[in-house]
Amino acid sequence: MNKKIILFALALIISVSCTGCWDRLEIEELGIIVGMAFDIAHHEDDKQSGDNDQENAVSSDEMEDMEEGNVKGNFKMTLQYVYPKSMGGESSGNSIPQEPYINIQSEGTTVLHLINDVYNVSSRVPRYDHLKTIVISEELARSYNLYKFLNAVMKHPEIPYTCVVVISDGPASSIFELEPDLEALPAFEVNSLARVVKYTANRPRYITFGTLARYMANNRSFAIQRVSCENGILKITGAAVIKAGEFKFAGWLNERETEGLNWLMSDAEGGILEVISEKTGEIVSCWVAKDDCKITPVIKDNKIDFKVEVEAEAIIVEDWAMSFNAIKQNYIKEIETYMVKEAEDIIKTTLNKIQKECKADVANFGRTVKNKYPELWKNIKDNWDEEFSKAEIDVKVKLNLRASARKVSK
Amino acid sequence: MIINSNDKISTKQATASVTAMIIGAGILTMTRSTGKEVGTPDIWMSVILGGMLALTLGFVHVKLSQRFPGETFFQYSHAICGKFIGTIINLAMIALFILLAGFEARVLAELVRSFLLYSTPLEVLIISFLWVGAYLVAGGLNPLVRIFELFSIVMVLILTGILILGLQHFDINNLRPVLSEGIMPVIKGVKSTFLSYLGYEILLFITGFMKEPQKAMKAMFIGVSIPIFYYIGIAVIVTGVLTLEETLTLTWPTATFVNSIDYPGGFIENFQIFFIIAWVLAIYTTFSGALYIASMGIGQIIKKKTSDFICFLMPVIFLVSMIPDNQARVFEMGDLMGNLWLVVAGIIPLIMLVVAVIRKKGSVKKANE
Repeated sequence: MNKKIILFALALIISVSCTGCWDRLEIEELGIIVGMAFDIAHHEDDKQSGDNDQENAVSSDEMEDMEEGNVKGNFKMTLQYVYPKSMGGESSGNSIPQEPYINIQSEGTTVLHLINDVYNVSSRVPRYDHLKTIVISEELARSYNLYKFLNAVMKHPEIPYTCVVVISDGPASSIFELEPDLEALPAFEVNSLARVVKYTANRPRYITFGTLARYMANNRSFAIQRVSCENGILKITGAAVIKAGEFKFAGWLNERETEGLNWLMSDAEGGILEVISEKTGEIVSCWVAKDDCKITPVIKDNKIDFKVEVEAEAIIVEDWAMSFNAIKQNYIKEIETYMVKEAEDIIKTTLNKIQKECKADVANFGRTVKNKYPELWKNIKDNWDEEFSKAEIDVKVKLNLRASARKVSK
Repeated sequence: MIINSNDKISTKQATASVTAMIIGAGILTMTRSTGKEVGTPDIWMSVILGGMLALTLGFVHVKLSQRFPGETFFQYSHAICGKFIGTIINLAMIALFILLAGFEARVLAELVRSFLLYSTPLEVLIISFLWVGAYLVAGGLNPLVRIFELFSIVMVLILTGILILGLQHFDINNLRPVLSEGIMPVIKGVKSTFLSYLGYEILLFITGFMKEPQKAMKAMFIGVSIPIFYYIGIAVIVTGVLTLEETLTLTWPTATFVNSIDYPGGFIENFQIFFIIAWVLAIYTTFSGALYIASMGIGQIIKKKTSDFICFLMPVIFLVSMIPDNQARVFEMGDLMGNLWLVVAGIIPLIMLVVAVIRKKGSVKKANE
């Protein structure tokens, strides 16, 4: 009997002392974060620099510091917290109507500083498990190596690899201040909007944080969706080019150029081809239904060139001359030649932009070299973007035009 | 030692034991440690070769055990090598299983601390784990294999789930070029896959307890093939999703891979947490098995009951698990253990089998059945 009492006491002591109190966290004390935005912090005197004209908002001596490798930036982080009371639907009658979110800003010289500064301004302990969106401002991407900058974020064990990363053309924090549309929170809105890629080709495939980490570890240039807000309307079109090696912003791709990029990535499904018919002088437009792009490296005299062969399917949607006739082979062939030319044109515009202006292999031509000539790749991979910008690329498009399901003529 | 008839186990249970023992901490870091050795995306080939090696050694173990029906390794090692060398081999075996148990406990604690309980001291995590393991082992072999049976199904289901969910992010191009640097790096990688295959040695100890020991070979083949299949799957999918370069930068590649699963619709999120909780079970089975074998070994050397030594072993295992002073050392310890294991549980049983055949020890008839 005595033994039993001792055992019981022992069990009690153990269960009281081993309850995991170290990591105790009350749910009421948590602040669930769904969005994260990074900006360069500006002080009173240079406050107007949200405009695109003022690209070099970082002063010259700061730039020098950065070139020396001292990360001595002045960053601003905006965190979007869910405001639980207005999310749950339990509206208490007398309180003021409240947005379902609260944005909290912190400033700091390093990312860790930013993350720690949150504790000074937020009464809730931030939890990043449900993070949906990371927005980075163009200005920040232009002046800092994003790999170095985001490294601390990548190491954070709570931040999921599935959150979407976008680049904003204005201040990133303003994206989270918008009135949300169909979703309850701006961060959700950006996330859902970014994931729509099936029906449109004027934006690249969305990049999750995991994808970003993968591209950076592989030292690969990539295009990332551009988010903008004009007149309070959130919009994702076009792309920002992030160049490998330095992982800095290297230029925007406009909608047409992004479409070309999608053609190269076999993602042009949902794209549009619009041409003016030479015969009638009226607009003919097609909707791209399928795109399959094959890139083959060609090596000649120690120089790498590429052959791009696209096989696509498109549906004729509009013909303003009202001459549409899917039974007539001549007609189909005629439109086909226009469309092929247009598609090739789009792709060439993009290639020109990424080769000559950005000098960044965002369409992943490098992978084809890596797969086909692994020996050669080892020598050139560190200098690949330079090599790529010199390559000559031959573009061939094969298009198969279809009529719409409903109408065969007119 | 007289084997209690209650302690007899079925062929299915033996199969599940092998599977549950093999699947453990190794799979969490396998892609990284092997990838580091191989240096090309051909990790999966090393995994296959490592699996073949494990099957071969498993074959040796079963052949050896079948020569001595009703006996465990700790008993027949005396018969083969004589009292003195046999005891040394037994002690080495026990030491290895203590090392394995300590390693598993530590990896579990590190894993839990990385993702779930950030500030809980390692000691607390390890000690509570040890208690739970000891509780199971104290019940003897039968509860243990029942847990193996149950949890191996859970592990297989979880692994199937994450492989299927990961498939949508899979890009075959990340596995190319195949064999870009020839076969040599692949062979170099085999050694580091071996850590993940540790645990099939359990057949040296439980064949004697089987109801139908002649079916031990079947149990071994199925029991080892299941982990081989899933390891290949994990190696292919993890490198195919994360790419080799990214895998090398990650502490827990498999867990991060699970974290990057992005299920369309998003009605289930944070698979990582489920995976880690499930993985506690996987590590638990390996740990308990190792603890059981180690205490059985000491029991049979001193000719006492197995359960008497569990309490004695617990502080030893705790100390072993606290040897590495940081996470990097834990992984180093794992690699070292893989190498030691190859010698003690790979080469020595092979030599013993040869010696047994030459000296005509054990019942040859039984082995040929």
